[in-house]
Amino acid sequence: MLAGEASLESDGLNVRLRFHLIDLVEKKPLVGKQYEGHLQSLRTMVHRMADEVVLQFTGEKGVHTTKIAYVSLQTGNKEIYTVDFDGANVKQITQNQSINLSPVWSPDGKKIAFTSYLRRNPDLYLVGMDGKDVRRFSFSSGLNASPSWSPDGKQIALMMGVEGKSDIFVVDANGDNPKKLTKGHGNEASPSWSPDGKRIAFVSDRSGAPQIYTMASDGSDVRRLTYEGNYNTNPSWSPKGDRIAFCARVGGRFEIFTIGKDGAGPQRLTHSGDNENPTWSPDGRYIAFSSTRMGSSRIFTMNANGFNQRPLTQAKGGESSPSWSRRFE
Amino acid sequence: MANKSLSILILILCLGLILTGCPKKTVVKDEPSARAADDARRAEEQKAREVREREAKEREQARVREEEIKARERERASAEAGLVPKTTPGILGQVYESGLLKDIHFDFDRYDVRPEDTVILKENAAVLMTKLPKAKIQIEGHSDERGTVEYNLALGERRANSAKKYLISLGISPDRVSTISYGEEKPLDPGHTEEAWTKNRRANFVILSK
Repeated sequence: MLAGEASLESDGLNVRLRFHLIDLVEKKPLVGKQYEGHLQSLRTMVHRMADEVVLQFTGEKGVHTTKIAYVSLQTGNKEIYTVDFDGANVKQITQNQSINLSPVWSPDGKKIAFTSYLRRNPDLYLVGMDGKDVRRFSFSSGLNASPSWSPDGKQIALMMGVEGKSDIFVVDANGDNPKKLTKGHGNEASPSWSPDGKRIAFVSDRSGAPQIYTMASDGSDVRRLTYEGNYNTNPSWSPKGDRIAFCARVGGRFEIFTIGKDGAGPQRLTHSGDNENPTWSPDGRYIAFSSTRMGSSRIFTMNANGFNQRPLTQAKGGESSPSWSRRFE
Repeated sequence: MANKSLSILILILCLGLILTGCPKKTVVKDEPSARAADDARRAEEQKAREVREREAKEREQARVREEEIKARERERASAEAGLVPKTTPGILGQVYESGLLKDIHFDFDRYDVRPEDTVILKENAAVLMTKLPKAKIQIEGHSDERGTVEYNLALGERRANSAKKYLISLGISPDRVSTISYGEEKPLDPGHTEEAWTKNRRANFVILSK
């Protein structure tokens, strides 16, 4: 049993936040911390404190300093936005009036990779998380889409259409040295790297319909994961490594499922509207996804077991394609 | 009395000579050369006629060819005049659209060219060969809104390339044709009905350069 106390002092524009937790059973202090800074960073201080509390309760820090990148149509075009984990602080990252898709955070949280049609071809770009320093880094003719970073940040898996159909390639993080991983006549999509960097989950319709597969990060040892239904896409590997979330078409609607990394124990998490594009929080406890259950598509979050599903922002709709960042501490 | 008989005899002889004599022989001697001259003349006239006819035919053919060339040029000029420039904010560059290049459509989740659409592709190829012989085109592959963004990008890529492959098989040079997939991002009809979805599963043809 834990008890705690927090106090907040302010002196003009500076604040000091203090808290401590004690273990009531063992009658000893567990943690005590103090944060000082400008009033503007109060939210960050509170979030760090909350992470500490969660750490004490559960053995792992919370995700209160994380952000979610996503696509929004609110300007009339698909642009990239970021928002804090709790829906506050919406920030527009791109403003190029083009078609911008599939934002994905780099492992160090400093950059976001995304696809844009700025130059009349779906090319891969990098942008700083502040929206500055936009750089094109993969622009083979045809698709350059659906990026997924390796956990060490050195490589990016992506869809490339350079051979007339979509295949999974790996490139260096600066776009050099493209290497084709998938073979055969299917359409390959949506790569998602495992947290240990050894395998990549992806979508292939080589069996006649899109299903989830995994392969070693050099393209060998391809294993099929999903056998139910005839439309399974959007794999996202949990940071814990044990399960993969994905989107399945069931009875004409799209639902979020998770499945064991070897294909065991599929679990359905959503039941209303069309639900797509799952992405895990860095502690593997939560999943963000898009849902049309309230009309137009909005970003939702839920516990990884499907409990507590709720919309993230106040937007009325037009949101899609979320990607959950690392902790910014 | 003997003189009278002799005179009659001489008269008969002369008549005989006159009836059977040299003048006839002279006529027989002249016939072949006269006939030959006639034949030769006729042959020459025939040849001259044939030459005249051939020349007339060639002039006619040249005239027809010139008409065809002029007609082609008129068609090309008209096709070029009919090109509508199109720019999209946020997407670099200007393209042209032509009512002469028609869309083809695809069945749900499919990217193969349907038999009924081969006719349209043949017509498009004909336009590209005669009316817009220098144009470079881009084939845009699209999907309907159902399903995930990324898999739809893959579908669109295949649809565009499917159409390209067929055009090349009809003789269009591959370096005149590029492709792009827009997945579900640029629907023709923003509706959420079967009708809208059918319209959106398409490949359409834009002109990058005249």
